[in-house]
Amino acid sequence: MEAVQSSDISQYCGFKIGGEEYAIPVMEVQEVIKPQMVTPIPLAQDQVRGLINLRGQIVTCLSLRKLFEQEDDLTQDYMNIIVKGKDGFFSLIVDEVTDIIDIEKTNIESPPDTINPNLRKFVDNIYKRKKGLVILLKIESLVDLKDDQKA
Amino acid sequence: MDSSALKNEFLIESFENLSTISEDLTQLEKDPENMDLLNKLYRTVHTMKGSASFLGYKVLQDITHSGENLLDALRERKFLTNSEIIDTLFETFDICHAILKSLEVNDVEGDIEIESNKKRLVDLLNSNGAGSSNEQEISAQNSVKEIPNSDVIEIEKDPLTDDELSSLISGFRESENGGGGPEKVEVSTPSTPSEDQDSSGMSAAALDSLKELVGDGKVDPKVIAELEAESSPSPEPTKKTENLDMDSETLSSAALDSLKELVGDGKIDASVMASLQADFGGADTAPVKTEEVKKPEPVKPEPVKAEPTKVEAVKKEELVKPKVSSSDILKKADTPITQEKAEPAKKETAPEPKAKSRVEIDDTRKSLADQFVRVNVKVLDKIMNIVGELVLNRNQILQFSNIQEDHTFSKLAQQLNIITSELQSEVMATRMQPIGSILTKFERLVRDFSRQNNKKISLKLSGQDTELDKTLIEAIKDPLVHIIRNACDHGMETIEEREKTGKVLDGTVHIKSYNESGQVTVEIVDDGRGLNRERIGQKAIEKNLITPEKYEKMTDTQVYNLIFAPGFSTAEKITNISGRGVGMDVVKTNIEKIGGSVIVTSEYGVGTTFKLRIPLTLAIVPALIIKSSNESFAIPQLNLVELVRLETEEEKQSIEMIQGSEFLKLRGSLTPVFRLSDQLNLQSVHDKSQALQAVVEKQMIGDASRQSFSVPTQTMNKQDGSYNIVILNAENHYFGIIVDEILDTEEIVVKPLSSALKQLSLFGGATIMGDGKVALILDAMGFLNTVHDSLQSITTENSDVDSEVLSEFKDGSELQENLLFKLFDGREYAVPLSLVSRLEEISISNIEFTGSQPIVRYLNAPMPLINIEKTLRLNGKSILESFKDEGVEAVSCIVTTIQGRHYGIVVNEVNDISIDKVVIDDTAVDREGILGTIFIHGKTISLIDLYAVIQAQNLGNFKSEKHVKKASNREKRVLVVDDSPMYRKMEGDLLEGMGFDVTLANHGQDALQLLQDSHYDLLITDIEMPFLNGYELAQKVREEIKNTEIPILALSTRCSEADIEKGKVCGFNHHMEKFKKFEVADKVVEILGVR
Repeated sequence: MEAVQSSDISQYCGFKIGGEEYAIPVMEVQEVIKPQMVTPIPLAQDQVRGLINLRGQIVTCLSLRKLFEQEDDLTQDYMNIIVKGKDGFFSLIVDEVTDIIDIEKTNIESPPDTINPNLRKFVDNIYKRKKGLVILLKIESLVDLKDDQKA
Repeated sequence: MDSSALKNEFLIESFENLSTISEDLTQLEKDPENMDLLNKLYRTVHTMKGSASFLGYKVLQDITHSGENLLDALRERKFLTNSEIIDTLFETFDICHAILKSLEVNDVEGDIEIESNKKRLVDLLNSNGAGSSNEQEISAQNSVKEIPNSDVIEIEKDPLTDDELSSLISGFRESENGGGGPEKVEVSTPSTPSEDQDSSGMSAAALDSLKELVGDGKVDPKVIAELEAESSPSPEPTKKTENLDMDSETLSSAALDSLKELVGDGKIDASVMASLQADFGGADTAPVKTEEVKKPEPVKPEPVKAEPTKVEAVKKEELVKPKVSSSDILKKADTPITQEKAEPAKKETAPEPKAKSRVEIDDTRKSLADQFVRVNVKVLDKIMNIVGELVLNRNQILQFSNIQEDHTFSKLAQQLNIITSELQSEVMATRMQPIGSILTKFERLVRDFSRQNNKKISLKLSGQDTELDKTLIEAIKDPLVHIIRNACDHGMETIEEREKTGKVLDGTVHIKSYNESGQVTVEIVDDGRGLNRERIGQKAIEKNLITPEKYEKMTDTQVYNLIFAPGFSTAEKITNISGRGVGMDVVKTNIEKIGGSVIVTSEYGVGTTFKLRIPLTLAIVPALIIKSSNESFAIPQLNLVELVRLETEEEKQSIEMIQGSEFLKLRGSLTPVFRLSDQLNLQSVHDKSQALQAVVEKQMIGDASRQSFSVPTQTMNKQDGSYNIVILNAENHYFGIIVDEILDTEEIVVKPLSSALKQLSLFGGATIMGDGKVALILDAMGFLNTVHDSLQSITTENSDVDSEVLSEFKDGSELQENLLFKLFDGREYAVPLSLVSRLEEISISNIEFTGSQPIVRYLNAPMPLINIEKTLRLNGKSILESFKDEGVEAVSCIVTTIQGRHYGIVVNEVNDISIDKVVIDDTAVDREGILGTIFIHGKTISLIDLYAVIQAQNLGNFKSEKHVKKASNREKRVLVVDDSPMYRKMEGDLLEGMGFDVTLANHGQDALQLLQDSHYDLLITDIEMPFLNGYELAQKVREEIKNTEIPILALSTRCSEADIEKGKVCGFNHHMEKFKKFEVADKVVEILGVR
């Protein structure tokens, strides 16, 4: 990932889904917002929770829980992480946003073969730290709904 | 202006010029006498040449020069335009185009071969007898045109550019050439080349043109007098090249431009230029205005002729033109015009300085340049987006103001509303362009084509000033090219063919554009050979696009539209037959991409019409907002046909079930309808949205400032039971969607969905509603495709259920409509729908009794209510017996009309209408009043014999079959053909009962055999039958069984006018609806003439 190459430390935005910690490069995050009024899209893919109006922009919300094939409770509180995709904005719906994590390149490992197959295609790398592992995700794969099996 | 910007400016201008030239040339060909046009052409070419030389594009300069020479000769009427000349000129400007392209892309002129064209131009010039002057020209142009000693020439400078002046002059010349000129004619016609070269201060022509102006009262006569005094000594050629003396002259900006050109070529010392410019105080930039310069600088352009090696270049150089002005005239600042240019009499008009000259030179359009600004489309797009946001914001404010009490606020909101709308329409207007800007280009296309292909085709345009959004104009350009090319190539016959068929030799392609119901329609009409149904059908069948059976059933329009099918076009080339289709699918997709549609109509041998319908703009569209399961959707009004509301049960009757799909009977045709909630599974969507809403609201607690002003949704109870149906048109497929609520129309800003969601074709985008919530925009075509997909997976058979094929199921079997209802034993029963007149709710309080017979007043007559449970001896008590105990207020009642009388069958509950191919099984009939059983929706349902039921009531006024029956009819032989054993039996029994000798046949083939073998007095036939259907049977009977004029009575469920008409053609004498037992009986009696 580019951000990693440029220096030894790169910043990631950490968040939690189902108790697990994940992160995406902070440079790709536009903002983090509270739950908004969502317009669900009939017949859309499972992970598409709906559309929100972000200051006049239409943002497509994706439930990462659904994407990772976990239980998705709609009544549960959540956060929107707004990222920019190829053609517009997406909101990644996560349980909670933790913190900005400084990640040293040296502690990054490629994902093990034993990784949950539901997750595999989204995972970029694994970051090891004292408190536990952080899964670094590829944003492009998250917002790419096309070859999703649910499509 | 840096050089690249200059270059871009030049390119833009030159491309525009080229397209004007091309149009003008086409015009010129039609009207070779048109001097205006020639002059315009000449000027345009000249401008290009000037600009090219200024920027140092030698090749371009060279070729345009040659073209210019030829045009000049034409303009001088040395010879007349002919098609050879026009062709060559076209070629010339194609070369120019290529050069410009190369400049644009590679920044160099490239290796474009110009010599042969140049040679042809010169040859043309020479062969037409203008050779000598051509030769002379070069030397003429070597001389520097110069400036009069202009103390005397007093000319006021005024917002008239060089172009305008030169147009004045050429305009003048024209009148001169036309013989209407003033006395000076001989002066302006060059007698010798040398005179030609006379470029003394003022040409005679210029002087004359001034005089003209005097005539118009535009110039003080005094000036002319002085002018004349000055120029009179110079009818003999005096080469004043050397005396380039500019004392007391004013240079026009044009002159300055020309000077700059010289500087650019290194021919004039830059310092001279600088000082000149200083003196002019920016005259070059200011679009020519009255300007006075007291001390003009002397300019010495000797280098011009001092460089023999540069002859070519130099001769094209624009030379200094003096613009003179004198202070005393200047005082009359408001007296119009003139600016003066020394114009070399023939060979060279005033150079037009680059950019400004682009403006059309036309008196009526003075200072057009001042009125226009070139704006990058991107800027406009951005403005458009912002206005879009503003519109949304306006909507929100309006909605908010509606729930506020504050009057001032609502007044302000209203104002905002008005201003925003105005702004919106103005901004849209900036993007509008007349469609003519692309249409005129087709003149060339058609012209070239007809020349190459031995066809005579002329292009007619109308409505060129119809305006369309720029992006849309671009988008329809290619499709139009395709269509026009096809019209010319495949559509139009050759001259010989046209002659043979006796058509006018000149074919016409007519492009009409006009506004129609909020859209722009572009029609491309040709009077060629038209589309050939058979050939298209054959091709389509070959390509497996359709089956032969389907082809038979298709209307002409449907067949014609096959040419748009992808795959059709890739068929081997279909030239020489009328089946057009090269690239037609591209046409269709492109037009549809921008929300338009294409329809083709044609008459074989007469012509073809393509009708493109294009929305005016894409960004902001009016839409209808609807709600289902509390979710809002926007439907673009473009697709909207009408709104239908079904309130009463009776009205709801017009929705019928066919094979699990619903159809609305609307003015005699069946329109498929879909329940939006069911199709989109909206209930679950709404649940989801509710859950999500709850989370948001939880957040909002303690965050009062962010409280959204979401308008309390006055949930107009959707369960008021009525159906709101929105009828939509998706490319001529009409269908309806049943929604809960129809709200309002709103201007919505279409925002695209992320491409990740594009596969959901049923949504054309999203928009933001007044309350800030996002609403999805339903795309009619996408919706139809989506529901069709799901339909196909449900109904394996008859997948293409739509209104057209509805009554024509492929296997030819007959559909039977049955009304399903429940009786008090809880079981389902059915009656043929054709026997049902209406469904009524009858209030208990209206029920009266005569004896034990319950009756109600219905349509001003007493109507007996029939206790069907009792009649059929079913279990369960009829509501007629129990309503008093149970406290019901109304009963459902099926009204049937027999022999003009109404009977009400009281039922427990009316369920549904099924339209199905049903097989009636009468093997298990266990009681009177049941015809048999049918199998619908996986259930066995008893079909009730209404006649029997009513007969069983023993109501006095009921004319029983016994009354109809006549025992003396034995001698009449009736043949009954029906593939349904039940009906066969029913009809047979009826006729037997009437005393006829009845023979039954299973199908048409069978019947035909019987008819051939023996004699019958009457043939009663069903229509939908296997092997030989009713129509075919009738035809066969009429054709093959010569001896008989047997009357044919058709009994069918198909009784539309078209069906009846078709029947008549095939040979039916009578056509009646099935099931109408008594009417049938009466009819038979009537036909056979028995009592």
